[in-house]
Amino acid sequence: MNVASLIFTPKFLATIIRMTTPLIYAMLAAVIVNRAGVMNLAVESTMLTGALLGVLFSTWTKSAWLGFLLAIIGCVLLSLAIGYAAFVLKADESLNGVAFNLMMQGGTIFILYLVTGSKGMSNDLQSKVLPKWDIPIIKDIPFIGTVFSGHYLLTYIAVIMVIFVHVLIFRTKFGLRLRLVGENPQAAESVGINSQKMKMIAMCLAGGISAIGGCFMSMGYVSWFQSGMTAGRGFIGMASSTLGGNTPLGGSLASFLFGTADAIAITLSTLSIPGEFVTMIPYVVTVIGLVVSSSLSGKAGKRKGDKK
Amino acid sequence: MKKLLSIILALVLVFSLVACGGSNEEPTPSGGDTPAPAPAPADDGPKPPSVCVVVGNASDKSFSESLARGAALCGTEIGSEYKVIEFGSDETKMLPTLEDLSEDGKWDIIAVASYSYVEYIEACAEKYPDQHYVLFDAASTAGYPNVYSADYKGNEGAYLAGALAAMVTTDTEEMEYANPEKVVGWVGGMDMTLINDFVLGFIQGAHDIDPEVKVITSYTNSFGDTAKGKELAQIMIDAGCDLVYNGAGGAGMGCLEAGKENHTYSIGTDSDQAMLFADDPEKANLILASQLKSLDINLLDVATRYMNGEDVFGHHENLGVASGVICLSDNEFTKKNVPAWMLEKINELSDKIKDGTIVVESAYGQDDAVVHEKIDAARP
Repeated sequence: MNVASLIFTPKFLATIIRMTTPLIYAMLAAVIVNRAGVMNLAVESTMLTGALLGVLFSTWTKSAWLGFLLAIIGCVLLSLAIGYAAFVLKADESLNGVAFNLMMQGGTIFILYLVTGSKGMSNDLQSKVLPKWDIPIIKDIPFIGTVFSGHYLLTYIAVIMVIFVHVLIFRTKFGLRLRLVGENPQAAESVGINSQKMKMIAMCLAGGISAIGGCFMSMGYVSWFQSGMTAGRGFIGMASSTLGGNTPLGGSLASFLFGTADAIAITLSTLSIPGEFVTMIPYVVTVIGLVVSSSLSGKAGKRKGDKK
Repeated sequence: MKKLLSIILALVLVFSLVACGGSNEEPTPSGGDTPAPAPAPADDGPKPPSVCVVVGNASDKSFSESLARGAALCGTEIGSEYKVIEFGSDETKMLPTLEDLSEDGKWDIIAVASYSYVEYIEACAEKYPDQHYVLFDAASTAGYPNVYSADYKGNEGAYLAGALAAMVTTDTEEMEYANPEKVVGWVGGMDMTLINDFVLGFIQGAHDIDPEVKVITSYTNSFGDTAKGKELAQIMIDAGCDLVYNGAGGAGMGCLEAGKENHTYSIGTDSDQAMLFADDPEKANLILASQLKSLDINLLDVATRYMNGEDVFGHHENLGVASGVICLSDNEFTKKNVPAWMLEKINELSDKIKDGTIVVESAYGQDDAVVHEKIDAARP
C-alpha cells in the first residue's frame, strides 16, 4: 500500500467532501456574523447544541426532518440569548462567546443526562437519520459518480446554502444593510437602519445555519450524539471564514483546504508515517493559508494606496 | 419584555452552573439504588467491609461504570454497605472528596480508578494511615501499607481479540462478510504506550493464528471525535479490512457505524459494545466481541480477601487473563455470530496464557522506536 494508491482515488475525494460539509456550515455562520461586524465565537456551541437537539427532537417526533427543523429553531433561540447578552446587556462579545461555548459543552451533557441518564452518548435513543441522495444519471458515471453521488442530502444543501448566503449578502437590500452595519454602524444608524436589530438577525441566521452543521454531524455522519462531538469544527469554520475574506465563495475554498488537509492527515495515518507529523498537517496548512491570505490582501491594499 | 428576557437569561446561566458543577448524588446502579439492606452474613462470619467508590461519571458506559458496578456487586455478593460518589468532570474535586471521606472514616475501603489519581491517593494514604485505599488501573509504588493498587495486562486481552480477528478474516466460508484479503484494522485513541501495548498483543494474537494476517494500525488522536473514527475505519475498510478493532473511547463508536454501513465486523474495548447497541441488531450482530476490563470483579475480589483477613493492602498487582479481570465479552451476539470452534480456540488460548505457555509481548519496557517498527512490520 503506498501513498498514491490511497490518495488518488475517487473514494478519497468523497472523503474530502464528507469532511468539508460541516466546516462549510460553520464557515457560512461565521461569514454572516463577521459581515455584521460581530465577533461571534459561539458557532462551536450552536453547532454542538444543534447536534444534540436534532437527535432529541427526531427521537420525540419520530421524524428526521421535524427534528431537524426544531433543532434549527432551538439554535436560533439560543443565538437570541447570546445576542441579547452581547448587544442589549452589552457583555463583551468575545468573552460572551467563550462563556456560551463552555456553557453548552457542559449544558449538552447535562441535557443528555436528564433525558437518557447517560453522560457520554445518546445510543439509547431511537433517533432518526437524514437521508442520503444518489444523483440520477451522475451516479452511474464511473469516477464522478463515486465522488459526487451518494452523499447526505445536507451536503448538497450546503452547496445551495453557499449560493444563498452569497446572494443574500451581496445581492439583496438586506445584505447591503448588513454590510453597512458591519463596516460603519454610525453611518447605518444615520440613514435609519437599526444596527442592533440587524446584528440580532445576523446572529439568528448564523445560529440556524450552524445548527444544520451540527445536525449533519449527529443525524448523518453518525447516528447519535456524543459529548463534544463537533471537536473544534466550529472554530475551523470561523478560521475558514477569515481565510476566505468573509465571503461565502472564498470561505468555501478555505473549508475545502481544511477538509482536504484533514482527509490527507487521516489517510496517511494508516501508513507508517509518524502520527505526530500527520496531525500537524491541518494546522500547518492553516498557518500557511493565513499568512498567504494576509500578505495577498496587504499587497492589494498597497496597490489601492498607490492609485490614490 | 426586557425584564422577562433577563430573567430567562439568568435562569439559563444558573442552569449552566448546575450542569458544570457535576453532581454529588448517588447514581442508579443497575438493580436498585439503595445501599443494599443486603443479606446479613451469619454471625460467625467476618464483617463485610463497607465500600465507597469515587468516580467522575458513573455512567460512562466504560471504565467508571464498571467500577461503580463493582460497589453494587460487593453489596449483593458479600453484603457490604456501599456508596458511589460522582464528582463530575472537574478533577480538582477529586482530592477534597477523598479527604472528606477519609476524615469521616465511615468507609473501610475507598476505591478509585485511573492513573491520574496516584498522587491524590498517596497524599491521603500518608495523612490518614488507618484508611484503606484501592487504586485501579495504576501503580502506586510508594509502598504505603494501606494502599492496594492494580493495573492490567491489556495486551493479553488484545491477544485474544487478535486471534479472533485472524480467525474471522481468514474464514471466508463461515463468516458471511469476510473477504479474501487477510487484512484487519486497528483504530487507537492515541499513539502512546498504553494503547500500543494493546496493538502488540493484537498483532501477536493474529500472527499466532495465521502469520500472513496484516494489521493496519492508526490513531484518531482524540477520544471524542466520532466522525474521525468513522472516516478512519472507512479508509481501512476501503483498503481491504473486513474487521476493525477500536480502542479509542467515544471516537471508536464511529468505527462501529462504518462497520454497519459497509457490512464489516468490529471488535470493541472497555465496554460491551454489542450490548450498547442491542436495540440496533444490524449493528450489534457485526460487533463480534469486546475486550473487557472488569474492575467490578477486581473490587469484589479485593473486598472479599480483606474480609477474610488476607493481607491485600500494601501490595500492587498486575492482573491479566489469569485473574479473570481481562477477558473477551461473552454476550448473546457473540454466541450467535462467532462459530463455536472459534470460541473454543479462544478459551484454549486463554488457558495457555493462564498457565504461562503463551507469553504476550508488552510495549512497556520497550523502546518506542522498536514498538513502532513492530507495528509497521505488520502493515500490508
